[in-house]
Amino acid sequence: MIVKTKENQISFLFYEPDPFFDMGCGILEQENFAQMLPYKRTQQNGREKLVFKIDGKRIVKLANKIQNFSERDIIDVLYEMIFLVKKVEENGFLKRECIWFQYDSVYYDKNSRDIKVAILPVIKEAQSVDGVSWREHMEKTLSQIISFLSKEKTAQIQNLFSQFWAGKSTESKILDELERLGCNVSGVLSRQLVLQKETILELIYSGRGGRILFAVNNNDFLIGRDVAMADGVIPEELSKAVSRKHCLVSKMQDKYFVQDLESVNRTLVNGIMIPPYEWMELEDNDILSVADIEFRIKKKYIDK
Amino acid sequence: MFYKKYFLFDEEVEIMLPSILTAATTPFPLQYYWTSQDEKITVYITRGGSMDATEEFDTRLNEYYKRFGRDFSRFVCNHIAKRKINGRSYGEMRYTSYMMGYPFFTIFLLGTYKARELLILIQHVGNEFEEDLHIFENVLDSVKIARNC
Repeated sequence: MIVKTKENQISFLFYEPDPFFDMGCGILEQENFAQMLPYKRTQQNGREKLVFKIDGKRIVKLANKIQNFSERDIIDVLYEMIFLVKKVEENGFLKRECIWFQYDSVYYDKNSRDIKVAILPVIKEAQSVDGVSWREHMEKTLSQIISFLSKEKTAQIQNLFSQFWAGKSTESKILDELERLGCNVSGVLSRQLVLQKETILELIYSGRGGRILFAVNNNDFLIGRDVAMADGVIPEELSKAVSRKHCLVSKMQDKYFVQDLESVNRTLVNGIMIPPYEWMELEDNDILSVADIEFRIKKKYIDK
Repeated sequence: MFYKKYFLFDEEVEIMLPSILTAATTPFPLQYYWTSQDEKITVYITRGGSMDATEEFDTRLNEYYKRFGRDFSRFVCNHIAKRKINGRSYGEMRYTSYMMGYPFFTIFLLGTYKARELLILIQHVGNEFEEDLHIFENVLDSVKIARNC
């Protein structure tokens, strides 16, 4: 791959046709990363070429601006870089090596206060250019950025990244630490990350005879009168209409479904009767009727 | 919406489908096919060629991507990603295309089952597929393959 940097553009000319190029470009368009420089796809002598344009007024080289940044601004830049690595890899097909993190090619948008970089739709050729690996580029860029911090913060953050490169820390942990060190952008960006939370379902009954609370998490949850078999027992004193094995609540990814087990007095969700052995999704604030016992559904999110 | 669970391939693969779909017969073994009464929604499950899960996965999905782009009229792929369902990785493509003048929305899921491709297609005829996306998500999330497969 040949990389050429001019004042207002970076171009990548690929030696060999890459079989993933089309699909890769499709993924880049689909993901539309906020930190990605706009690009144009062309051909040069039958080879694929990507040209990333830089608007020199609003978007400038980070290297030319960073000496005027506050410590908080610099930590924001580090946060954005690691955030972008995490976001790119979320897709599953793109890899971190797609992000062109060479120091001179990292830009800064003065209006949105984002970093801007080239992201490539290929991996193989981006892994090593001129004998320098992606990781070496990234390490060098991070070092140069960190060098503008105070001695104390430099040591703290360098230690953080050493752990990362040694495989002893993850992107999420780095992001958490940078937040703790006073990052400004975390709130905005963290909402774009897939929430690492787990759901639990609460079934709440409050009425004559008392109160019942069932909590369903990852395992199948059988509701009925049978003390030996049911996970959620509805005592006979409360209702004789509930069958011994009445219905089953099951979790699928972060959603919950209920199945009627051919009960005598049926299972309903929001008044709709579920046919025997069929499933229906349970959502927050739904009413689950197990015979004559009505539960209110509460879906809760907890940290993983 | 009610759903029913189906157990396929000697009960080693499980999927949950809306009750409005009924199973249709196909002349081919190792293929399953359901359709709604108005034939607007179809679900199709089959095993494909041999595939090593770790090495060939990306290449195989890329081949399908190129093939669809070549063979389907007005093919527009608006989503490609890997997806984890019940601990297994799948490649997913969502695309629109045209056939015999009708617009189609398709979700194509590629997984591995016993060293071969497992292909799941959910297809919706017409432009109003967005109302049913939540149902299609539930179908995809329900796919389970027995542990030892």
